[in-house]
Formats: sequence, C-alpha cells, structure tokens
Amino acid sequence: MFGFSQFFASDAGAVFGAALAQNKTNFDLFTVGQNVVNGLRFGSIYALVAMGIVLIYKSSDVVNFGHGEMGMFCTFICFAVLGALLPARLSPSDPLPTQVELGSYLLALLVTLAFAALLGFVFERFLLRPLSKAPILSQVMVTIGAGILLYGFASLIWKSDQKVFPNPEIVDGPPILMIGSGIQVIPISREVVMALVIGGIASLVLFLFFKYTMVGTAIRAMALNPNAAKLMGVNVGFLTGLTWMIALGLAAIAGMLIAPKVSLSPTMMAGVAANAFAAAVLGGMNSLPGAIVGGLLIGIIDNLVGYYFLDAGLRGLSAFIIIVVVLTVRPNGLLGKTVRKKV
Amino acid sequence: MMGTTIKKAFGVLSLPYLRWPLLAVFLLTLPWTVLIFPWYNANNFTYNQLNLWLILSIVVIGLNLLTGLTGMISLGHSAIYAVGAYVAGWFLAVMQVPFPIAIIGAAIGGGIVGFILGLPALRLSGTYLAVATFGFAIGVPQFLAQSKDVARLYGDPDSATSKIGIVAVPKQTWLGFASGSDLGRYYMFLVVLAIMVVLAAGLWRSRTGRALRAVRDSETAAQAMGVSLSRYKVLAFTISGIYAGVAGALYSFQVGQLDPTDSQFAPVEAVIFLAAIILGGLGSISGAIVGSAALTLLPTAANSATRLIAETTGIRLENFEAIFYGVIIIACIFYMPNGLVGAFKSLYERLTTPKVIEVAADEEVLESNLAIPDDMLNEEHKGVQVN
Repeated sequence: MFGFSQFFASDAGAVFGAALAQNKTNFDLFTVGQNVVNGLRFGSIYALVAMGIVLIYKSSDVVNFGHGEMGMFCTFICFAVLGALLPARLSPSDPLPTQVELGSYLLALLVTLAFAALLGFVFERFLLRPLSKAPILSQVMVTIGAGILLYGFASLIWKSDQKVFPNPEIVDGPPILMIGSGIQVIPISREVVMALVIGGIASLVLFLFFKYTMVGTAIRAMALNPNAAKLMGVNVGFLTGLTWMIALGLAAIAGMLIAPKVSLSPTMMAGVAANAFAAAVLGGMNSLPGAIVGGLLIGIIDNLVGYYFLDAGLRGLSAFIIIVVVLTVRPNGLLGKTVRKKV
Repeated sequence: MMGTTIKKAFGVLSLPYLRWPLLAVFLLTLPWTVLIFPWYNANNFTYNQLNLWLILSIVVIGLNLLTGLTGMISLGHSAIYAVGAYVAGWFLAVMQVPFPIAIIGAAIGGGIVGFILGLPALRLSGTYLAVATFGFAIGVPQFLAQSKDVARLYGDPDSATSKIGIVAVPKQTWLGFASGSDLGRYYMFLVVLAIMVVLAAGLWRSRTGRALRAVRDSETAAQAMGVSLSRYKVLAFTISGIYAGVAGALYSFQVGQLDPTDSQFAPVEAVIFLAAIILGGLGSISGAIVGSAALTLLPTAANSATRLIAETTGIRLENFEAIFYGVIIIACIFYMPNGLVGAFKSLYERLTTPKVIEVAADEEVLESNLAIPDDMLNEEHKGVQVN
C-alpha cells in the first residue's frame, strides 16, 4: 500500500551511491565529505520532524506515528495554494514550475502553517484526548489510523503520482560555497544551506520560546508534571493543543523542504518519518536538543552506510542497528534524561 | 421473553461438546459454502482470500500473545513474516526438503528474529519499543531487496540490473497435502492453524502465560513475585516471532514467488496485524481469527467499491482502501474498544440478561429510604443524607 521502497529508490543518497557503487575503495575526505554534506541536508530535515515528535511525546505522552503523513498532507495544501497563486498556468493540472517567487512561497508557507496548526489542534482535541485513559495500543493505533486516513485522502484528492514541488527563487543559482580544489570539490548548494538555515532558525526560535516566554515556560512545566502545572494555573488542555500545532508546523516545513528533492507524492514522507523516529529515539525521546543531534547523526550515517554498504543492503537497517546499539549503552538516548518510574 | 429465545437459539453453541465439532464442520466445509454465496464471483472472492485469512490469523494470534498477553507493541512483525517466507523459500527452492521441514525451519528462523527484535524490549517500553521495531520493519524488506549476500544464498548473485531477492517457491505434495492447489493449501493451512491455536491456548493458561500477564498488568508487581522481566519479555517476542515465521512460510507456499517489494512485507502490514487485533479484540484468540477475517475482506470490499464508483461515475479513486483502513481503525477504537468479539459478547449478554423491573418510586419514598434517621446522628450531622 505505501511505497516505502519507492522513496528510497528516489532518495538522493541511494542514487548517488548507485552511480559509484562499483568502486568502494574511495574512502577519502572528498567522498566522505560529499556524503556528510548530503547527510547534513537530510539530517536537518529529520531533525525538524524529530523535534515535532519529541514535542508531542513530551506533552501527550504518545508517539505520533502519523507525523510523516500529517506533514505530507500539509505539503499538499501548500502545493494547492501555490497552484492557486500562479495564474500563468493554462490549466490546474499543469505541473508547477521548479521555482516560484519568494513572496508567493512565503504566503503559501503561512497558509500551510495555519492549516498544520488547525490539523494538529483538531487531531489532539477530538481524536487523541478522549483516549487519554485508553490503553497505549489504542493511542498508538489512532495516530497510525489518522496517518493512513490522510494518506488515503491525499491520494484521493491529488492522485498518487509524483509531482514537481517548487523551491523559492533565491535557492536557484550556483553553489554558495566550494570546498576543496581541482576536480575534488564539494559543492555546498543553496538547497543544502536553505535546509540547514531553516533547521537552525526553527531550533533557535523553539529554544528562545521555551526558555524566555511565559507560554514556553508553562509548556515546560506541563511536560514536567501536568498535575502540578494545572494547580499553578496552567491551562494544560490548551497548551497540549499548542504543542501539537507547533509540532505539525515543523513537520509541514520539513515536508516543504524535502518535496523538491524527492517529488511530491503521498508516500513522500514515509522514509523521512521513519528516520525521524529513529532520530528522536537516538537523541532521547524527551530531549529537543537530542532530536537535533539525533537527526543530523542519522542523516549522516544513513548517507554513509547507503554509499559504502550498498551491496550489503544495510541502508534501511542502519537506523535500527544504531538505535539498538545506542540504547544498550544509554537507555534514554544520547541526551535524554532518566525517567524514574513510580509505583 | 426475548432473552430466553435468544439464549435457546445460541444454546447449541454454549454446549461445549457441540461447539467444537460445529466449528470444525464449518471450517472444513467453508471452501464449498462460500461457493453458494452470490458475492462469490461478483466481488472476486477466491480461495486465495480464505488462505490469506488463515495465514493472517496465525500471525495475529502470535502478535496477540505479545500485545494482548504481555502488553508490548511491535510494529516489526511484518519483517519477521518476511524472514519466515524467505527461510521457507530457501528450504524449498535450494535445499528441496519436504514442506513440513520448511515450516519448522521458518518457525526457527522467525523465533531467532523475534528474539533479536525482543532485545530492545529489555530497555524500552511502550511507544519507544514500537518505534524501535518499526525501524526493523522498514529495514528488512530493503535488506532483502538490496543485499547481494541474500541473492547469493538463493543462487542468483548477479541480478544487479533486475530486482534482487525474487525467489520462486516450488509446489510440493507431501502425505496427501498438496501445496499445488488453493484447496489443498486451504486444508494444509487449516491443520497448521489448528496446531497453532491449540499451542496458543495452552500457553495462555500455562504458568508462562500467567507470568506474561503479570508482566503486562504491572512490571513491578511481576518482578516482586519473582518473574524475570527480561526473560519473559524476550520469550514473548520469540514465541510471537515463531508464529510470524510459520505464517510467512505458509505465505511463501501461497504466492509461489517471493518479492521483497510485496506489500505483504511492507511496514504497513505490521499495522494491519495490529489493526486485526484491535478489530477482533485485544487478548483473545477468537478475536484474532475474527479480526483477520474482517481485515482480509476489507481490501476486497474497498476494491469493489472503487470499481463500482469507477463504473458509475467514471472517476478512478487511488488508494481508496487506505481511507477504509483509517476509518475502521479509528471508529473501532472509539466505538468498539473490545473489538468484534467483545461487542458480540456484550450484545449477547445484554439480550439474554433479564431486564431489571423498574419500580415507580417518587422522590419522597426514595429520600425516606436513603436518609439516615435523625435520631441515629449526632447533633452536628443532622440533615445530612446519603446519596
């Protein structure tokens, strides 16, 4: 039903690796550097998704398995808005251009974020919260069910073929930076910079929000102890909804970043979400900095493994192996805090 | 009374010595009874689906041992299922042994993979564990599709241009059980399912089963009673891995050709296993079988709905079954938390329990009954009523 393998077939690293798969001895700075740059790009997208997963886990105590599909659906909304904003096309079924003006891109981004917030709020309020006393399986399944449902709706409305998704115009152009000399140059393309910059800005904004604003402090208090926070006058219900809104906003941004690379389709986020889950667990499910570190690490390792061990077929399994190894040493992830269970 | 009528109607089923023979007759004649239904041809309903139902039932019973009995969620069972299919395929295609040995081999393979998958369970619980096992479900099909070592095992190392990992599974006849025809496979799978059900029911009631339930209800209490958490958690994963492995072997007989990109091995299949548990009823063997039946019929229903819409309106809907799955999973969680079996049980109980006779009572009578007589109270408590 979901073409998970489709995603990996179109994944940048896999394509890149396949071209050079015959020659596995080139373990030099150039090749590794290229893979690391590529990995950082995907890694910052994984980090965006993983931060959302961590936020939701901290506020609702559930892993949102529909996170990828929710982000995918928001990206489709952005696609529809961009389509409506571009009058030059002859018919609505025409593909979008590969570049759009920054203004319309930002406008579409705003609409998408508003939709993501609405989706997050509605899902949390009407589907997840009534189940807060239900067994954990029901909570997990309702997130999965919502993901499948959104996948179905996206296929129903926009069909399941692969579509061109535009970048903003400023991303067009030669690589911003060249590292190295001669033929062995690692180009740092504008797309890579955009992914890193947006990832960085999002992390910084989240950090400032949680550290210095009243609402952010209240959310932290809520994550620490919901009952105590409630007694202190924190509106726990509303803030849980707010974290969902932020989390899905991050997923929507991640979707808009990855869509130009892997083409827009209902299966687009499946692989991204899988790696983001791995990133969240790797960093520690209750740590936002952990999600960032985990995302970047998974991005880099995934690219390197995909390149050097293509024949062994370990690309997809690498995330799982990393999780198992890391959790054996550090059960709460790299940066996670120990949670003591009370009887 | 209506209740007694219903009780009489179901009375035959409540006799233990009749229930099992009736069920056996029903299952043995099922391939013929479906023939007489009008939707047999109309909906493309074939023996293939009966067989897929039996296969799905085996996995779901195994997963129910893990999720329903021990309380751990695995999203990695599609991977164990795939491994079971490939191990059985290897035994049949390369080793050319009789298929019961292939099934046993797949069971051992599934058990080993289940054991490996259970190792994270020692450190993780709840949703953490689900995430870790999910990674496994995504990785294994890709591993099978890309690994040259796997291809070499099946004697096809240089298929780099075409798809790696496609294995043809030969058909066999052994002791009158023919795996060459759908009908033959139906009875073969039925025998395997019966064995697996008996084993599961035995485990459910055994000392081990009680220990697993103790782990589910409270890990701390179980530990205090001397139940080794790590041992029983890994044991539960291993046992449910054996079930998934056996089911994978049967699937390899059913399709005759294994393909790593088969949707049956995709991670979403693991979700379908869990959905079958939810739909049938958590922690019940009959629930697993009923839920599997519902989920086997679901894609068929979705496909006929898609075809009907395409014929009448000319609009071809893509992935329409996803909406079916999503709606049914969510609706089931909200409106049928105990699954189909639980819903049937509560309906049966409601219909057969005699209604409480409502006594017309006005408020004064009630109040005088509930109020504590004033002379029994201290001065300060006078006037207080018990609600």
